[in-house]
Amino acid sequence: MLQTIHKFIKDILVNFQSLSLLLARFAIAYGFLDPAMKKWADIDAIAGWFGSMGIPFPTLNAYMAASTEALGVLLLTLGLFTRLISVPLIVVMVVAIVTVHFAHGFSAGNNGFEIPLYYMLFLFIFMSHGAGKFSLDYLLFGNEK
Amino acid sequence: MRFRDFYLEYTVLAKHFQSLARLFARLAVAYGFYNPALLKWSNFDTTVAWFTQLGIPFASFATFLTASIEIIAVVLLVLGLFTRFITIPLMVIMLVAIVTVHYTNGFSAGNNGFEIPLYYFLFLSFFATHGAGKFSLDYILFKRGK
Repeated sequence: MLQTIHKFIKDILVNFQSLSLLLARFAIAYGFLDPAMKKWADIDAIAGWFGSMGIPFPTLNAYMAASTEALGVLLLTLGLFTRLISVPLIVVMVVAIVTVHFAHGFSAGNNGFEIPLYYMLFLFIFMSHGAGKFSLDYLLFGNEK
Repeated sequence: MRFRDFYLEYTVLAKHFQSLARLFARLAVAYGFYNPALLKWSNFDTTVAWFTQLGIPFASFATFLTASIEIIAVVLLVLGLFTRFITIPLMVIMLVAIVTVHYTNGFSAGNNGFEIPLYYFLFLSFFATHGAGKFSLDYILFKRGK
């Protein structure tokens, strides 16, 4: 009985897999838009900030982080090379948690690591599940689900 | 062409992490519901008054329902049990939270905006459509549960 109900519900819900991945991609792309633009607006200040946090090669890393984030916004929106871009973005999130947010605890209200953690989890989902059908990946690489 | 081959090979590799990604996300969302659920139970009357003030009908019943769903969800999401069932009412709770509380505060979480309930809604819609993965009771119970 429970098996039948579960199968019935599941058969309906699986039709929305690509939609859920699309909406999540848009949300994460939007989330990276602000930090990316802030970094490009004043890259020298970001390099100085990175330096003050003890990140090695602060100028190089400021450019790397800003480029990865800007590229992430574009690629996540298009669903292009989704599984690839997710990996450096996860690295950016790990660095952000360790250098900035971890000392503030969990809660987002206190600038804690809550939101970068959620981003990491979404990106890990995109890496392992791909971008879904509403993506350029689907056109380019076919049924990779 | 070589890039295409590389990407397809990489895809095969990356897919092995699907269940792990779902497990981590489930644990995070379960943890996220733990505090709101406990707060509602420990300050039940205050929550009823707050719900009334927000214009939610049948405030006592709504509080009881929300608090129950949230505390059950914490347990079920951790176990990966009835994941597809519990995510639907949770998504409704998130929508109500966004509309009644967070939307007027804008997007940013720092300002108590709808950012975090939106992320929760997206996580939950992902669980609803994809299931709990292999590290779950659903997988044992419903087999091909994927």
